[in-house]
Amino acid sequence: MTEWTEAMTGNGCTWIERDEVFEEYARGTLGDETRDAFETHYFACDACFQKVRTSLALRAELAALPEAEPAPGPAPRRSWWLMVAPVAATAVVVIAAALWFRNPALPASPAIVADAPPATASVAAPAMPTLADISAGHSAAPPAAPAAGSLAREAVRNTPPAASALMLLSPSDNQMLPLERLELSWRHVPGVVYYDLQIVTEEGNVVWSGRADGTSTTLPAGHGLQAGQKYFVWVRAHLSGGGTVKSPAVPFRVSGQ
Amino acid sequence: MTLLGDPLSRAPAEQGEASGADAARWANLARRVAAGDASAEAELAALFHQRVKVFAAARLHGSDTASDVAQDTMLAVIEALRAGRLHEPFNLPGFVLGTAKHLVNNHHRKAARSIEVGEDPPDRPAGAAPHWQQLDEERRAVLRAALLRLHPVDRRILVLTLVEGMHPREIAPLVRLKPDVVRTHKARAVKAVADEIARLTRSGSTNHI
Repeated sequence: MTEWTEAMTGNGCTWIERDEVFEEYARGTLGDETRDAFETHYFACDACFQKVRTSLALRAELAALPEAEPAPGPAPRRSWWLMVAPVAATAVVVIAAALWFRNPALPASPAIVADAPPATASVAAPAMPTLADISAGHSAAPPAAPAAGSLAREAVRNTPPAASALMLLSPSDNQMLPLERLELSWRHVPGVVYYDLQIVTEEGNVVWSGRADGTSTTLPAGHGLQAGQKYFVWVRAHLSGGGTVKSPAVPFRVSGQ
Repeated sequence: MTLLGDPLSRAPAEQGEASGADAARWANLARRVAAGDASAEAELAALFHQRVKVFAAARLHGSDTASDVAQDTMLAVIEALRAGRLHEPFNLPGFVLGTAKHLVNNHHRKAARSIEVGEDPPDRPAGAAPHWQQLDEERRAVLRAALLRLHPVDRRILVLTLVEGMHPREIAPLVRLKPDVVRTHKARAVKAVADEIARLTRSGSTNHI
């Protein structure tokens, strides 16, 4: 069997290094002309065929992974002052407490404590009693450092709105859009980096996809949609934290010539 | 004749670039199939069945009928060869691909006719592909395990690339890396998964993914 194949296992292959072709082919977004040429090629090229096969399998399996998987980045670089700040804050608290115990008449100094960066306070708080703990009942006691639980609640409050917040404004359900002017608009989502849109046929074939920075877009010429056909559109917001929020799919029809 | 096997298919010479020797081999294979040689049919299936299946899976966007289309294609090709309907035997790969395209288009037309208005929208047309469910569970488990062993950032980069279709420069701010570093991570992740698959293939516990 190998006698068939000696020639085309990578030698002289101009496709194998073009990762974007394999990726777009696996996603079904490769242009028709390139797709046809690529299929003709990988039908004969063993190296490209194996790579196509792996790309398709990878894509299918990745798509089946939980969508809400967190997107951790590498550990952010911390400034030098953030690294030493916990020690400094602890020292400030200890010194302040010592001074206060030595001379209880001396009012605590909220100004000094307040100078510590917020992140520092949260780090130092569990290890050391706060000035508020020491001077419980003291009228000048500074506010206690936020506990981990309250920080978590704060994080929840800062979380972008739920998926229901992202919805298409145009088209509405089963709206008829003119072929010559296909305008899409949707509701803004806070914290968005950009939006991507997909329009698919009733069979689920992608006919157009694009991205936008704002909350509306007009399909460019050559979009591939046809009059009289029914399509589905949805928008996905890519958030600065790495997550995505997707709108419900909206069916619509196209009118015109 | 066995078309459902999963042989390690090897590449035929590329259409349009085939040497005279390759063309002669294609013509010979076509002639043997036409003569009813069962070993030639098996050889034809070993060479093209997996390619047609991958092609159909890609064209049908994960439809669970990719295997059926691949099977029908091979049967149609063999029938055509037996009936002497292949006019350019040296272009056998092109004939197989053309037959597969024809059957995929038929499937699209049939599906379009059977769609009922008001049906639930195809929310994820190319998402978790049903055809994948038909593939060998062991191979799928290997792939999944390899993906789960990746660093979460690398896995995220693969998702954003292959599922979301994002470019490294778009991924970069999301994972707080430079675009070049994203490319490196992506290449490393793909290689890690491919190596895992290759290792298992060498060990003989499964076939190619």
